[in-house]
This record gives sequence, C-alpha cells and structure tokens, in this order.
Amino acid sequence: MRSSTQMLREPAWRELLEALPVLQTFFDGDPHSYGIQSLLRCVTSYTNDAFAAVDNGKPFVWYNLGFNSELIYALGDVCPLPIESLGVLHNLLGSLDRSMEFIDTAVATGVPSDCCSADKLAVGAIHKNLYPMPACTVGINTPCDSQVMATQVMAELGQAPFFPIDVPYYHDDRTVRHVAAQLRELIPFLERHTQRRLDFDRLRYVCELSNQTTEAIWEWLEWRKNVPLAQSSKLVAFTLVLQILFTGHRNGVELAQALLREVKERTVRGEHFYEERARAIWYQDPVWTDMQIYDWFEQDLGLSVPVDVFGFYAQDGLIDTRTPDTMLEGLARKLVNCHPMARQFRSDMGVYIRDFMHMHEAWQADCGIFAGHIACKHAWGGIGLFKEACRKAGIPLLVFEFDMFDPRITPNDEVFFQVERFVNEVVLPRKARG
Amino acid sequence: MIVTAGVDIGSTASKAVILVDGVPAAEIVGQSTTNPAKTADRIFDEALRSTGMSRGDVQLVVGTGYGRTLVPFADKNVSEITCHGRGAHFLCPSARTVIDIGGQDTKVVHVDERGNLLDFAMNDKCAAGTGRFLEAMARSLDVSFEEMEVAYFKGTDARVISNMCSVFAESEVINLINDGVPLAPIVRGLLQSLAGRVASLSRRLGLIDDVVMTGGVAKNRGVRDAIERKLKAPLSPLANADPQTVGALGASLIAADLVTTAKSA
Amino acid sequence: MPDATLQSILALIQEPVPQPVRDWKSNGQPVVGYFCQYVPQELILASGALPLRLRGVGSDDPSLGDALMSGRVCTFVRHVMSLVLDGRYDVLDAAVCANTCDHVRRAADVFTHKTDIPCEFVSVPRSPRESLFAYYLEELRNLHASLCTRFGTAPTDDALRDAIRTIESNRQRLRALPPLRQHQAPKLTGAESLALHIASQVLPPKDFQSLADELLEALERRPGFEDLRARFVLIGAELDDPGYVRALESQGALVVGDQLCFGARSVLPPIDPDAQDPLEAIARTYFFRHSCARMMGDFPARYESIVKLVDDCRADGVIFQRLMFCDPWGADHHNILLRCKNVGGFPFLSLTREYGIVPTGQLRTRVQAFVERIEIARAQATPIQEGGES
Repeated sequence: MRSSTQMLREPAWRELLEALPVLQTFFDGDPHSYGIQSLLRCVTSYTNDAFAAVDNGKPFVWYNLGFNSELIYALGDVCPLPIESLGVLHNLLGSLDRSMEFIDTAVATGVPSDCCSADKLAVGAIHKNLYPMPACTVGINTPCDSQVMATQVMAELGQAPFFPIDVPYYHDDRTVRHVAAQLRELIPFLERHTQRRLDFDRLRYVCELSNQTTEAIWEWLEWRKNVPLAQSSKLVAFTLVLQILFTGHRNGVELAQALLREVKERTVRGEHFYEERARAIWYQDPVWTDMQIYDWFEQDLGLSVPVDVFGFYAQDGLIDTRTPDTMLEGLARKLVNCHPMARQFRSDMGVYIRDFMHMHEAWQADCGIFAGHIACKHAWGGIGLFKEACRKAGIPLLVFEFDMFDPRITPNDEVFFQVERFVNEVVLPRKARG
Repeated sequence: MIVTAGVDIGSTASKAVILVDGVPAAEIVGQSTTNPAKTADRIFDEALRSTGMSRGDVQLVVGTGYGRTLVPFADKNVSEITCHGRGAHFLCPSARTVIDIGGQDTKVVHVDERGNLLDFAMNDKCAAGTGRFLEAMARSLDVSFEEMEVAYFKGTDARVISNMCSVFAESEVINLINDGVPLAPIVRGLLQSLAGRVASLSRRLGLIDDVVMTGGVAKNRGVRDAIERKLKAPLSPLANADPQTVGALGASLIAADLVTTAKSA
Repeated sequence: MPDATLQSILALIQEPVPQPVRDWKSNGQPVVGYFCQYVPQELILASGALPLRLRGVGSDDPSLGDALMSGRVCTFVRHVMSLVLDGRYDVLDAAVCANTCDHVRRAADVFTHKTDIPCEFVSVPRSPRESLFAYYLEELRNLHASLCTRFGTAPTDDALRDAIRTIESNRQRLRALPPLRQHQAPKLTGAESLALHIASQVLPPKDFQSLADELLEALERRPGFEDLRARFVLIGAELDDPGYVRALESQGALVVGDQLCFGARSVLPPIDPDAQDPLEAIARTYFFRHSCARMMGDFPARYESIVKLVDDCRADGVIFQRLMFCDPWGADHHNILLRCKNVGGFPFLSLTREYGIVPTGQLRTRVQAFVERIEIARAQATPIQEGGES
C-alpha cells in the first residue's frame, strides 16, 4: 500500500488538497455561508482521515454512490470510499481538466462513451491508481445500470472480494426486508475482510447520528419552502452527498445542521440578495461542472431552485435503533425509499412523477426543469410520461440535454440560454397571467 | 521482375500505386466518382501510362478502400486497415502506430516490426474527426485547405469549438464569423477539435512509438501539429511519400508478397 | 435440403407475430409476450398461454417508441415498443417485463400507461446467489398465480410438469446444434443457428419442433463448410437478427459458437419434470444458469465460460457486439478487454450497433481486418496481443 506522501505526489490529490484551504478562505469571507463552509470542512476532515488511514494501514471499503456509509462507519476505524468521490470533487472545485482526464481514461480502457460520466469518473480514477486499494468492495444496483457497470469494473480492478446488493423493483415492506437481509449478510463479509467486528452499540450510535442528520435535513428542506428562498439554490443538491459519505458520522450531523442554521438565520433576517421572480424544481442532475450557474440564474433571472431531485429526502428515513434487526431494517428502508435517484427511478415512473408533483406544490414552484443528463437512461426512458403529466397539471416544463460532469457535451452558456429563454418566455408570462 | 499494383478506392479520392521489384514506380491520386469500377479503371490506366507499362505487365493487383470489392480487375481485396499499416511501415520501418484520417473515417492501427496488422480502432460513424469535418469547415469559412494551414500557424489563440457534432460545429463557426472573430483562432479551434477526436480514438487503442499519420488530411501541417500537441508525442515522417497513397502502396506490397509466395511454393 | 427449411424459418421469424402464433390465438388460446430470459417460458406455457419473445423485427421506424422514451434509450426496446404502440403485437393478452435493465423497466411503464395490454412484472435479483433465490422463487410463484387467474387455468404441478417436458423437447433439438457447429467442417452457419434458436422462442412448440426435425435431418446430408478463413465465437447483447450474423460471416469466416441471449444461451440445462416442486426446479435452473451481464459479481464465471467456448469451438477469436446505450454489456466489454490485455485471453473484436441496422460496409471492413489479423498471426505462428476496441 502506498503511503499518503506517495499519494500526494499525484497531481490529482495535490490539486485537491491545495484548493480546499483556498476555497475555505474565500467562503470564510461570508460569515453566514455556514453550508459551504461546513461542506469544505467535512471534505477536508474526511480527506485528512483517509490519508491518516492510509499511513496507519487501516482498511478501506470501496462502494458506489447508491450505497450509504453507516455500516462502514459502524466497523470503527474502517474508511469508506465512494469510488466517484475524487472525480466529483474535482468537478466541484472547478478543475474540469482533471475530471475530463478521468472520463477519457475510462473510455480509453473500454467503458462505452454512452455510460454515465459519474461512472466514468469512478473508473478513470481507479485506473489511475489514485485510491488506496480496498480490503473489500460493495456494489449496489441502484440507482441505475451505469452504476452497475461501475461496480463490475470496481469488482474487477479492486482485486478484493466483492459483495453485490440487490434492491428490487418495488417499494414495499417485502423489498425492505429483502434488502435488510442482505445487509445482515454483508456484516460478516465486511468483518472478515476488514478484520474488524461490527459492534451493535457502535451501530446504534452511528444510526443515531444518521437520524440527527436526517432530521436536520428535513427541517432544512422545510425552511427552504419559504417564499422567497433565502438560501443559495446550489446547496440543495448536497443531500445526496451527505447520504453517500457523511451519514452516520459527526460530519453528516455538522453539515446538515449548518445548512439548517444558515437557511433559518437568513430567512429570519429576511436576507435576499436578488429579487426572486420564479421558483423551479430542478428535476434531474445538477450542473456539477459549474455550480455557480445557479448563482447566475438567481442574479440574472431571479430564478431560485428551492429543492431538486438530489436534495429531496423522503419522510421514511428514520432508523429505529432499538435492536440490531430494527436498525438493519431502518438502513434498508433508507436505501429503498429515501436515497435520491434510487427512490425515484428504480421502480415505475409513477414514483418519479408523484414526487415531482409533491415537490412542486410543497415548495411552491412555478415550473419544472428536466436537465437531461444524456446518459441517464432511466430518466430519459420515461420522459414522455413525465411531459404528459406536467402538461395535464398545467406545469411548464423545460427539457434539455447536457452532461452533469462533462462540459464538452453542452457548454454552460447554452444551458443558461435554455433556462433564460424558458423563464422569460414561458414561466414569467404564465405567472403574470395567473 | 515483380510488378504489382494496389488500387485504393476511397469515398473522396482514389489512388493507384505500381510497384516494381519493391520500389514504387507510379503513385496516382484522382477524384472518386459514384461508379467505383469506372474510377478504378481510370486510375489504374493513368498509373500504367505514367510507367509505360500495360495491364499484362502487372502480375497481381490488390484492391482496397471502401470500394475494394468493386475493382473489376483486382485479383484480391484486402481491408484498408491492413493496407495502411503495411504501407506506412514500408515508408517508416520504425512505425508501430498508424493514424489514418480519411475522407469519411478515421482509424488507428498497430503494426509489428514487419508491418503486419496487430490491432485497430475505427471511427466511421461520426463525421467529426474525419476529412469530411475539415471540408465542411473550410466551406463555412470560405477558405482552402492551404489557407487553413497558414491561418493555423498565425498566433496561438484558439476559440474552443464546443459542439461535438460537426453539423452544429458548422453553425457555431458561422456564429463566430458573424461575431467578427478572426480566422486564425477559429481555425486553431477547429483543428484542435479534430485532433481531440483523433487523440481519443488513439488512446482507446494505445500509442506505441513510432507514430505516423497517413491519409489526405495528413498533408495539412496544422492538423499534424494539433495532433502532436494532443497526443504529446511527435509524428514521424513518411519519407517524402504522399500520405494519401499509403493505402494503395500497402496493397501493392501485399500483392508483391503474394507473388513471391506463389513463386516459392 | 436444409436450405428450404431454413428459408421457411427465416420467413416466419421476419414477423414479430409469426402466422402460427396467430393460428394459436385464433384457436382461442392466449399469447403472452415477454422480454427477458429470466422469465421462464415454462411458466407461461403452464398457465395455458403461448410464450412469445418480444422482438423489434419488422419495425423500420422507432418514432412511436422514441416519442415516449426519447432517443437516449436502447434501440431494441424502442423498436419493440414502437411495434406494440402501432398495434403490431395485437395478439398479446398480457406482457411480462422484468428489471433486466433500465430500458426494459421503462418499457413496462409504456405497457402500463399507454396500452391496454396488462403488464406483469418480475423483479429478478441482481446476483445469482443462494440467499437471493427465495425472492426470485416468490416472484415466479406470484407471476404463475397471476397468469393462471387471468386465463382461468388452475396453477397445478401437473401443468408445470407438462410445460417443462414441452420446452425441454424444444431444447433437446437445439442441443443437437453445437456439435454440428463446432465440427472441423461446420454444417450450419451462425446466422442459420440463430434463426433456429429464435424460432424456438416465437413459435408454438409443435410448429418449432416440426421445423427443427426437418432441418436436423437435412443437415445430416449437408456437406460441411470447408476452408474457413477463421472461426469465431459471438457474444454480447441482445441480437435477434440473423442478417447481422450473416454480415459477420461474409468474409469467409464462420460463427461456430455463441453466447447470445436469443441464441445458444437460451438453451438451459434439462429441468427435472418429476421434481417434487416443479416451479422451484424451473426457478433454480433459470436463476443459476449461465448469467447475463446484468448479474453483478458473476463476470469471472462468464469470462471462464467464454474461454471454454473458444476452446470447445477451436475458435480463432471472439466477436463482441453491444447495442448502443447498453450499460451491463458495457461493463463486460471493459472487463473482457482488460483480461485480454493482461492475461492474453483471446483475439477480440468489439462492435457497437443499433438495432435493426446492418451497416454492411462498415461491418465488412472491421471483420475483414480482424480475419486478416488472425491469418497473419497464424502464418507467423505468433499470438495476438490485444489493444483496444474497434
């Protein structure tokens, strides 16, 4: 296993670790931007822990973004590593050349170009040997087949035992029990390969942290229902980030509570740094290539995004911590019914559409935006039904193609142009007509 | 004396090479027509005229290119993939990777130390990254290929052409012209876009030194420079040969091999 | 001569609903369309219905499917759903979809919301391990019960046993093909073999068996194909077009073995009709069969099976074809390439395709170059080192 010093010789890691404190300083300039400050702190904290784990020979567990981190944290000093993380972080920090390199590496090694760029980021990073090798890997079939592709590559390249989790098509209790049984099966697998024991008292503590995170998220999303929206649009996508990597850890609680504190304070103070003219449910993948585009929407168009599909967290995510069985069932329920994208896309389109209608009403939106990530086949496959439902409900819907991690597909000014035209020519006139 | 010929019927240009005892005696390039058989006859006869030979003097003809099965006088047809590899290796014996940008396809080929085909990757589904792309852009810019080459080397600025599709890239170019953007940065952006596609295909196969480029587009020094920068690797020269005739040359060499094999059998 | 029988088979399978299926229907018997190999034919048959594997053959315009599903979805599924929406599958009394992949899941939505064809769903676990078998078995029990209720038949073990025997009878005939194909001088082409396999999944059993018997008898007298330039194994995604395989075989090489879902992989091992629980026996055979790329964690077994097939067929190389937008087979593509590069598995040609399109010129060039590669390596007695995809 390479040491952290050796890993830091890789430009991909060096650039990331150099960028984090610079961004931290930048956002520290606004004392009220608790959300972003906390996110940067949590990422820095996670990265420091990961490098320390490398140097101390601690085991790593790789997994894909459809999985949640609680069980791994419950093992003690085992480091969870979502395989998409490095590429995604480079995107968020603006080093798109680096993330495009990962994408191109994946395609060069045989991943078809029509697979999702999130998964190409993962495969590219693995091929470049940027991650500490795992003690074992966990793959879950949600949210989509492109993720399944990434797990199969992970299984092949990870050179470590692989455990697949199946989440069936449905949302019923039978499905939750089926997944809970697999989590039960997963525990001895993790113990055997990480050589750690899963202590159920520690799992209880981890689940309690997860519950605190979930409750904070719910309250945060409630505050974002206020009109006008007092907090930045771009922060809402981070529910997914929380669930993939920070849930079950103090970082998750901190981040969720920071997001909540920020929206509460800004709302109570009546802080508005633009005139909100329209509210959209961004109902597909965020523009991870440039999250500042949401600031642009706010400032130039007066368009806010109070909630999106990555941010929405269904009211089924609290874990009953009384017994090991109830905890495993609670964790399964989170994966089946709450995890963004897995909840909406795994089953029939009805779930996707109903969630949209609920969000549109509850967050008092004026329109929907289907930012169609080109490789998101289970979303595009239902576009006809979604458009029809919106038409029937009288909700204006913008549909366009782009790629959430690869800026070469649709340039950001084209994305802005699409949204601008929609807001100015469709949404605002309709709103004015009442 | 062993006299053989290679006839390469491409989508935009057709080529013929006559080989006499392993030395090219004629290399002709002509316009393709919608009738590959007639094109083959015409180009072959022109090549023969330039050497003073007749059809009877040629012991074996190999046809290649997209129209290879329609060369009526060919004794055998061999894929242009194999032929380009062989021809490039003849001209540059250290060549192990051959990048061929043709009129409507692009291919990357690996050959061994004898010029034999080892592996290949091809793009023939999308015009971006092919000669067609450059033709369309030259038309939009109202310049010749030579003028594009001159413009490329003027300065270092490049306007990134963000559209992947060559049809939409053409619209983007027209918008840039209307916005008053000078020619040079547009051309640099276009050639970089082409080079990016080619580099992506090359990486799929992998690069083994030395790398050479064949096909008509290889005559454009701007394209060569853009590709070298994208690959971060130099392109080795192909002696003084016309890169457009490499496929036909390879076909004539394969024909000579067959004649030699038959004689020694 | 086999040619006449083969022509009959090809003519029949050119239609999404072959005439014998319409005859079955006009006798008052139901027809159930299904997408996926993890939906047992035996189950459908036991409910009193004819299992009809859904195909997009005969669709030259996927626009009806595109309108609902967009152009960013598998062309196979779009063509099938275009035919459904156009009424070309008017014989269906029900359809069965599965969570085979993202695209078939969305096809289920189209069936449910846009047609009057009742759509059943089977959720097939993503990993073929014992601990997940009970879930699959329960899904099949539910499906069986639902179909029987729909068609007013009793869900008896006897009906299941009869269905097992009938489908096994189909498969016995298909099991005669590998020795004929793997022979030094194969007696039938890959295209012909695929046609017969498809017929077993779209014709009423009696019609299929009669044609298969006729063909097998004629093949005994057919001389084999000699002087092949190369022998290939064909693997990859959904492929139900003998014309595509014919294009691959146009350069003097033959497809002597395959692992296609519509092809040789449809031939399961025999199921014991006298098992105590015939439905469990069916489920077990289907669940633990040679897996599809949608199954997670099973790539090593799939890879070993390719190596074995190449060996059994004395094949010179493997042709891998993938439908655009197919993520599960995208994973296998990456992994096979990786193993071929690292451990020198077998010469490998990779093709990406769209359903219903056979780009003969492009295919011919690639396959010809692949054949030439193999011939060169054979002449020099050097192994082929794999690089990348074509």
